[in-house]
Amino acid sequence: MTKCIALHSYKGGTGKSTISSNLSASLAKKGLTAVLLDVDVYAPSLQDYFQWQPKKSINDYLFENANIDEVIHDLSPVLDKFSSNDGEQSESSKGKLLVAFSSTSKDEIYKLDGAVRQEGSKIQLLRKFLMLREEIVSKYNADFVIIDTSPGIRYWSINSLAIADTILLSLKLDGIDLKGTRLLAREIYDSLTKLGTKSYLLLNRAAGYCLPPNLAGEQTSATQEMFNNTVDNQSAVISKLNADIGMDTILSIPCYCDIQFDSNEFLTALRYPNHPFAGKIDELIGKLKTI
Amino acid sequence: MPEVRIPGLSSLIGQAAAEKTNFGILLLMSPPGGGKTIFCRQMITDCLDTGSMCIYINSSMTRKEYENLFNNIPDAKIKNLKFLNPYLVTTGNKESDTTTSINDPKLSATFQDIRNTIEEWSSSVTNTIERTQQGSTSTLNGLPKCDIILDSLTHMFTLFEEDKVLKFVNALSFLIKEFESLALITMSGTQSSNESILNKLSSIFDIVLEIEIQEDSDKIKRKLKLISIKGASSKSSSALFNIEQEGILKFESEVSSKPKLSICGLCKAPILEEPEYYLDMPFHHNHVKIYMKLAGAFGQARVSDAGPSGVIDAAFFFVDVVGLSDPALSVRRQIEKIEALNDMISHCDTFKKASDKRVLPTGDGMAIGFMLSPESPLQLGIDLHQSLKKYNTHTKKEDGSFLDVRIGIASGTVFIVNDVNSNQNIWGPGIIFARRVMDVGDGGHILVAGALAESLLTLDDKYRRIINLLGDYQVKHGQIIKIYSAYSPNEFGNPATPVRFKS
Repeated sequence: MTKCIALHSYKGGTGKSTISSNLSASLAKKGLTAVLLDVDVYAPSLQDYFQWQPKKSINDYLFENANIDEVIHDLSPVLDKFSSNDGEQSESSKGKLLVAFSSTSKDEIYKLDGAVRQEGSKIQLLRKFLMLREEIVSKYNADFVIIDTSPGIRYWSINSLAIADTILLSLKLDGIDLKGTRLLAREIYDSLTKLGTKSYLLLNRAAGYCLPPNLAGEQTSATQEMFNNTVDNQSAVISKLNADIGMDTILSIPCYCDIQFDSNEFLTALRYPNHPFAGKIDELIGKLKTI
Repeated sequence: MPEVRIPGLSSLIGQAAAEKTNFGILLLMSPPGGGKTIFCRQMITDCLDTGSMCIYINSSMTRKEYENLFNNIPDAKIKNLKFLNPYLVTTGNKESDTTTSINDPKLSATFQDIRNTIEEWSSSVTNTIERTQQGSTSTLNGLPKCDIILDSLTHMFTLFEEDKVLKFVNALSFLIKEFESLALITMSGTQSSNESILNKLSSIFDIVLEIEIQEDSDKIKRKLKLISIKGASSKSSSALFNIEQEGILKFESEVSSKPKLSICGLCKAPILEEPEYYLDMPFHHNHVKIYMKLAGAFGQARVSDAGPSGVIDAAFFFVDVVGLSDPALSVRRQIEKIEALNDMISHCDTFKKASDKRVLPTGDGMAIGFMLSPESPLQLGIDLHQSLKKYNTHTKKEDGSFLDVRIGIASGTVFIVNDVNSNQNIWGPGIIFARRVMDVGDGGHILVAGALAESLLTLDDKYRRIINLLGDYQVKHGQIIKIYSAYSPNEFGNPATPVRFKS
């Protein structure tokens, strides 16, 4: 049975695209069929992650200018590029990575935005969006459909959440994100979870990965104390958030400076399978399989 | 195209599930007078209509009685119906059956005859397909099958030993599986009176049905009930039916004057299966929760307002009676013609079988929208012309009784609107377009709008023989449309160029 998972957040820059790309690619590497949908229609970025220029996009499908086969791109060969002798090669040869991109064309983004403001075309687009999920489930025998959504409370992000079985709410632990997450939980997620959708917090860029100053040779009592306080405070904030909004944390991904500041490295989990980030993605896969 | 071969089954388990019931064994129980034999005849007629072969086994019927029962079936179809009476079967020249252990020469010979017939039929179907498709016969799925109707098992128990009949039925069940056929077996009595036999054969029957008779004042009402599917007891699913003149079964949903068109409250597309309801709105089964989630997120009003008059594409059939407003024609004659047209259309197979249609009466004719099949309007036009041909053998042009119609067919967009009775109805450019096309024609014409004609031409080669281009025509408001004429000389349509076209 296909599991449909949407990655959502209150604001942008929380790592939805990075996590969804690496998650989808890693699922495929483990021999599963993963379909990744870029529904971040206002700021699509998956084309950069996969270095792929699609001829047809989800926008074409929604406007009936393309059929499902034309917008689902088989990027399984990407897996071969990163295959190694880590024992997963034989599994990855069975897996499939299928990706549907949103158009990056300014005109297409305006067109889609304009169409959802007109009731007549809005319902046609919604019907096609529902068909997109149904066709993927029926035609591609997908184990997982991963949806990279637009952040915030927007038309396409809410539609994405409505068709998902599980929502991962990605957030950093700054004040704005925490406030926005509470808002999302109250305004949106509450009604979805009552109807059976499962939702979890996915903490990204959490403190605790960087080497503490004492190990880096710059030990002072003040910096050590600050580091310890940050980690301790974070744990308290997470516990309170879990209790306040009734959502468990599925995973906490530390802030990896080496990923964050790499200008063109996107599929870290494939390129560096021994990096702790890859381990975190594996941990996420393990948990998603049991949901 | 999938067909429902068991009368009334779609009313019990839904159209989609009934269409998928294309092989297996069904048991039909009924008290005397319930209409088992009429039910069998209806099923045989429906099966023959789909191009299938049927074997009718009845141990109490003579050949003459059999011929009387099926005298309504045309010769072209009756050749695909085989009658067997196990009691009257001759065993002298039959090879003894060594595979089934039935241990009764007559039942064994009957079984062998059934097997031979099915094998010959399958072989001839495969050969035909091989000839037409040059060998691409990887599967027999979807090809005409050989169905078996045994009427009735109860009577066979009076002529043969019970264990031998049970072995016969058991052997039959393997044959059904082997050739993916459909079998209907009838029994007199009810579920409780047949309990012992049902227990012995429970693993064989895929679906068990029962006819219940209810006496309502002086009228007898019959109800077809679903007892179980694959051994699992069913919920109380039932459908009332009448046996009409000429022994045709009419189920209540078919009798009702206006079939319900359900449009999904979320995606606004027609619903083929049994709809699921939320806040009195119909939905596709998998759209209810999504609707509720969106309503929770956006607010009920905003989701409901997402196109209150949903937009759908459909194919339309527009028909009117030619010359109905002629002042020389009496009102009585006008009414006769309208009623005759309505009656003929309501009896056309295409009309009866389409679950996705919407009918809008127009006074001197009607518009019928088919939500799913672009082929249905043209097929209905052909069906109607064949009925008209028969009808007009008893009419005369001189006394105004001759019934002549013109038909326009087109596809296009329509809106779902609520009518004064709060029923969902359709209206929009698609219907208007079909009207414009019809207006171009004269009596006997079946005119098809360009876009629909061209899609039919690419759909199936058979349309190339009957759809002919007339050319471009300027209709109201200066709009130019391409028009095709569908005809086959002496069968349907009008090969002459429409008068308006010439001018």
